[in-house]
Amino acid sequence: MSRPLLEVRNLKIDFETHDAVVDAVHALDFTLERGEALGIVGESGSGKSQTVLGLIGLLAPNAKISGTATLTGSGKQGDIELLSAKPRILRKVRGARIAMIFQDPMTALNPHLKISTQMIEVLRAHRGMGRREAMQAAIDMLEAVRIPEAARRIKYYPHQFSGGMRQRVMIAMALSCEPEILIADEPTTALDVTVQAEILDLIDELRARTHTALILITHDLGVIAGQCSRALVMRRGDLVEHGPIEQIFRAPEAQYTRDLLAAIPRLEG
Amino acid sequence: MISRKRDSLENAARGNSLGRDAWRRLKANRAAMASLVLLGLITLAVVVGPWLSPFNYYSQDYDAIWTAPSWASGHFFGTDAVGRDLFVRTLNGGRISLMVGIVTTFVSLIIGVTYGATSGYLGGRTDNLMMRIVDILYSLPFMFFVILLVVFFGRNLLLLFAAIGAVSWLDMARIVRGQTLSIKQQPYIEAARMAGAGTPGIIARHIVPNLLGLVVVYVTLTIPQVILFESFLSYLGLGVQPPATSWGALINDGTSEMSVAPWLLIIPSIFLAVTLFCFNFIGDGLRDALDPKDR
Amino acid sequence: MMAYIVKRLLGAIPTIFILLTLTFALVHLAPGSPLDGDRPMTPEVRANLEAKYHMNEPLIQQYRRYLLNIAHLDFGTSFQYKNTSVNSLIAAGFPVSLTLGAAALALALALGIPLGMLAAVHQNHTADYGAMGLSLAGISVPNFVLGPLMVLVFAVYNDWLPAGGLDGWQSYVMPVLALAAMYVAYVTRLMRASTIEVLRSNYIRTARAKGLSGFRVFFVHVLPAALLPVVSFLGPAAAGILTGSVVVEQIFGIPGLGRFFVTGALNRDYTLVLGITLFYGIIIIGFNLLVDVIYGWLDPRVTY
Repeated sequence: MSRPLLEVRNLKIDFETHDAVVDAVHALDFTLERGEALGIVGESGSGKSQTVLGLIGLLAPNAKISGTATLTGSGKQGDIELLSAKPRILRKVRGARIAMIFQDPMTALNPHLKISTQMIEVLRAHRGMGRREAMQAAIDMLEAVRIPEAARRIKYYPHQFSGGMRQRVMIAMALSCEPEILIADEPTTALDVTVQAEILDLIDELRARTHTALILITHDLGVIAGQCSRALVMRRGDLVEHGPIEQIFRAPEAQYTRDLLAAIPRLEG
Repeated sequence: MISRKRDSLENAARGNSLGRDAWRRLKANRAAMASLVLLGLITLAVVVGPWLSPFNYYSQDYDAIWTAPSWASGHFFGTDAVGRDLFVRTLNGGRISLMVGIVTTFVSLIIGVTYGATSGYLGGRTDNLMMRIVDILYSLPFMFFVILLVVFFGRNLLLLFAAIGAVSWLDMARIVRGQTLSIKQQPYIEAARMAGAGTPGIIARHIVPNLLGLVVVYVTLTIPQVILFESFLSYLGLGVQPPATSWGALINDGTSEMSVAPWLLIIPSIFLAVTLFCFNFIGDGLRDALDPKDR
Repeated sequence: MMAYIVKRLLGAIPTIFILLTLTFALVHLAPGSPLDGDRPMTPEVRANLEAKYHMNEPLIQQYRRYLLNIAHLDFGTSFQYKNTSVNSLIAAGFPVSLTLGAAALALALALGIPLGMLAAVHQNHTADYGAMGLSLAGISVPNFVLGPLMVLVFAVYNDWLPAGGLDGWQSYVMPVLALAAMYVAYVTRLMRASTIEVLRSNYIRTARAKGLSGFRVFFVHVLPAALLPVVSFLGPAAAGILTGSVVVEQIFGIPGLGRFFVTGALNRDYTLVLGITLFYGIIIIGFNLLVDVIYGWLDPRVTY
């Protein structure tokens, strides 16, 4: 077996605020294989979002991060140590090899720029495409996320789309450079229940094509059960459980995981 | 998980810590605290200073015209073209400037809060109409209006209060209205209503305390604007009339004599600028203290 | 877009109407008559003058005449400069005031925008504190303090710049600086606050997560959004600068409209003061309209 795609060791994140020092994440270890889907579960404030933001260098300026996170090289490119990489190197990873989808599609797209501008700039930055070529690739991507009349709607501004549609645009944008890792931070929390399943299915379908690994962050164990093969359970910055999804559901080790499972409503008594 | 550096944890436990927290943050803001102290000193000097001096602001002394500031002559700030003591005149002018600033801000506070809270609380069509009126007044060149008023109705201090007060309430009205609207929609207002609290109780318990911080900030930011306004009019010779004086009027006198007696320009200028600077610093500090997300 | 402009134009009509009615009411509520001068006059002379200025007509007819005259952009004859129309005084003074004001506004934007951006990017560091301290000073030093002090230093003590008058570009340096200082400060503060807010927004995090260059993130994603509040400040700024030019023209002896206004005000030249107030009122309303249209064009979320 080859080495994992991403290997995180002893990851720690602190925030220094005006009044206090907050330890958001302590000593987290985990790995991610190529094409695998890993879930990170936890309540709000458990440090799950900060962990992934830390990996791609997008933490707030008052954050301190330590440990190692190694992104295994592909082809002739060597390994990249994400936490100590130069901004220039990290920029080439973000969007190209590790892409991200955020929780709130209503605010994640720039309201002042057309969808076309926002999609094309990623392709141009990482793929070196010309304007026309990038435009065609972007339209193809929008069609892949099943946005009707993509060629016309790509000229719209974000406010002309619904929440579900905007999240599709985000997915199209994130996957347009065929990244090796897709990080989805609560991608369906802000959406209607009926739209949630569609979005999750869409992510699954598209990432199967490109063999992209997924880190899915959620507070909802039900979502993890449907999408992931392995999961981490976090609580207040600590890793409380780590294992294959069947084990977590059938034989949870930590009391906290049992509490979380007990909180899922069941039909049968 | 969270190790507090200071005493904020205890404060949080004590509850109702918004005012206390704000005060603690303000105290930590050294520039604002220094401004507060300096402003206190200026106010004290302006109030008691003129009584302590052997001179008064109107007596002319042709044996001592254009005396440079000196300790020996007793004219700490020098004298003007007709031998009046600048020290007393500056402090006396300060009385007028500060009084205009405070009284007029009070006028604009009363109008602005009443208008804004009414508009925001009533909502709907009344709110639309009332805010449309504010919009219209906003787009008028009100400085020209005040000058027009002064030209047609003559120059007197009371009119000046009324005129400046009448145009400076607009900001206050807008801000209070916006805040009232957003407070009105808070779930806790709904909860209070469900729990049986009446409208007066809700206004007194929930709306007014939540407006207070904002109003305090805008009062500290309106006072320097009004002082500036009055100085502007007095500088043009349209405000306070001689022999009474204000900082604007003194700066005007100083401008015409600056080549022979530069202190006549420089000293009142320093007083005016420092006072405005202090008010602005305190206002900024208060705003940051009450709404720390911007810092 | 056209419908939006028409809508805004129609919206400006009540504003202008209120401007006109307020000024008319003011003139007629005022005690005394503009003819009460220093010199006593015979009843015949008075009657003649009243007839000349249509002061003997019923109020409602005067109001109609007043509205009609202004509709024709006719502001009447000056009391102070006999036989000179207010229009010709405006025509003489406004180009000077406009040059001064436009230069000050341009300077305010050219300095304030970069300074505010700099402060926001270095939030809570030395550059931020420096820029903020400087801009607080700018807000606290009024033009009628800064102007004379500059004259003292640059014209009286050193013979570097002309103290007043209009003679070549050097004459504009100090007036423009005095007029612009406060607005440089305002624009800096506004730009800092809006840049900080945009930098914190989710869509900027998205832009970073996309791996764009810092240059592109700032100039394509941050800047246009951060500039919007500055655009809406242009209206009040223009009004403030026109007002400020009244005192700056006085200080530097510049023959602009503001100077006419002050001498008119001091000499109770009713028609001149009224005419300039109305003229500036209409200019400001028009400028606000223009700013609204530009804003609507810049922000895609504004629906027409």
